[in-house]
Amino acid sequence: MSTSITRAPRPSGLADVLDVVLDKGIVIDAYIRVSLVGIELLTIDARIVIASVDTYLRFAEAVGRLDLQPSEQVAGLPGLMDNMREGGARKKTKGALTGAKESFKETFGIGGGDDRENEQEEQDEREEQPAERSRGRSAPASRRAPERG
Amino acid sequence: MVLLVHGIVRSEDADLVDVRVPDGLRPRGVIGGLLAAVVSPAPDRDLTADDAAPHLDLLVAVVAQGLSVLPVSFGTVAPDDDAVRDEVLAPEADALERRLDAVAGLVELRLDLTFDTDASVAAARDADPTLREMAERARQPGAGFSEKLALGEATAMRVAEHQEALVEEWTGELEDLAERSAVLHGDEQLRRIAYLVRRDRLDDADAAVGRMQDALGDRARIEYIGPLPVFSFLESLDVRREPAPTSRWGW
Repeated sequence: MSTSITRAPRPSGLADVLDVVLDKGIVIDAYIRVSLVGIELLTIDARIVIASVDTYLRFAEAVGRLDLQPSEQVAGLPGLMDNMREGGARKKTKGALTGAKESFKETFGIGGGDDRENEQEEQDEREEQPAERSRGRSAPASRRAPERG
Repeated sequence: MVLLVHGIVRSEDADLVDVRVPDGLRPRGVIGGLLAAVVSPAPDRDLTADDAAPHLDLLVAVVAQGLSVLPVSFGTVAPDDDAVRDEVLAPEADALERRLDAVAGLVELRLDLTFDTDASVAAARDADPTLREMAERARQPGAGFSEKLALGEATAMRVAEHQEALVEEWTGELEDLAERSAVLHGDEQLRRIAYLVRRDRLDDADAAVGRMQDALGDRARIEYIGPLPVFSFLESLDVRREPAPTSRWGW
């Protein structure tokens, strides 16, 4: 006997509703359509692109958590790791790469990372921020393209 | 009066009798030949994202009534009934009729599988001992950003492989009973898959998803949606007309 599962008639969230109906279905001659520029922008803003670096750091933290034995932990380390995780999540909206690096720097600032590495990261951040912003704007639109139906 | 065009049905279904109409919409059918467009008065302002929900709700209600419908792209408007007949229905009438035939008796179901990251990572780590060694290296004094990034990258790769295998295992039954499927989105947390399913197999699909729910336990969460109009397979459905046989024996 399997668990009964609820089948929802449609997605509950507005972003997911738009994902279903926007640019999907029969497309009638272009001149008869209204401009949906405002809605296009809304969906792009609703989908925050998470940079792969941030993803990798989250996975690294997750593996690290698994391997930490409570008896070997120095006092405060779990809280430190949690802070790092929360900081990373909080800053996703600010810019995935920036958020990930800042949370990393915060951790090292508390835990004793070397200054040279932090300076290098700040320089990387200055160099990479503009590229990351432009990627954040363009990626969702390109991701939607193959889903046209 | 400017009209929003929601979908296309057969002319005999144009009265929309028994369709549960979403609040605030006053839909009706505009008949042209063998087809009808489901339209409603457009709001006296620019469309917003909030107008997408009633549009989808109406299409879902039409499907729930057992009717075949071709969803029209959200935001399609026409100035009046004549424009609907002349610009929407007439130019592609033959192709639209064939597409309606193609979707007859079919609906779309969607499955969102949201993975538990910690469970995925634990499984990936258990399957690959090198991840544990890399994690150990990343914790050593002097280890820095690059060690951590390498660990994360290797873990992400194993997690993706692990999730791919799980999805294949969990969705096998649904794949078998569906006419088609399409992965609409996939990343390390969410896998969104659309299934084209015959109406008469909806109960089988529900049972298959129920068994899937049992199988995945805490490793992932399911969101199961439908029946939707066929959105994801409109282009790929075979809409060719069967050629008329040239003789009673078919040659």
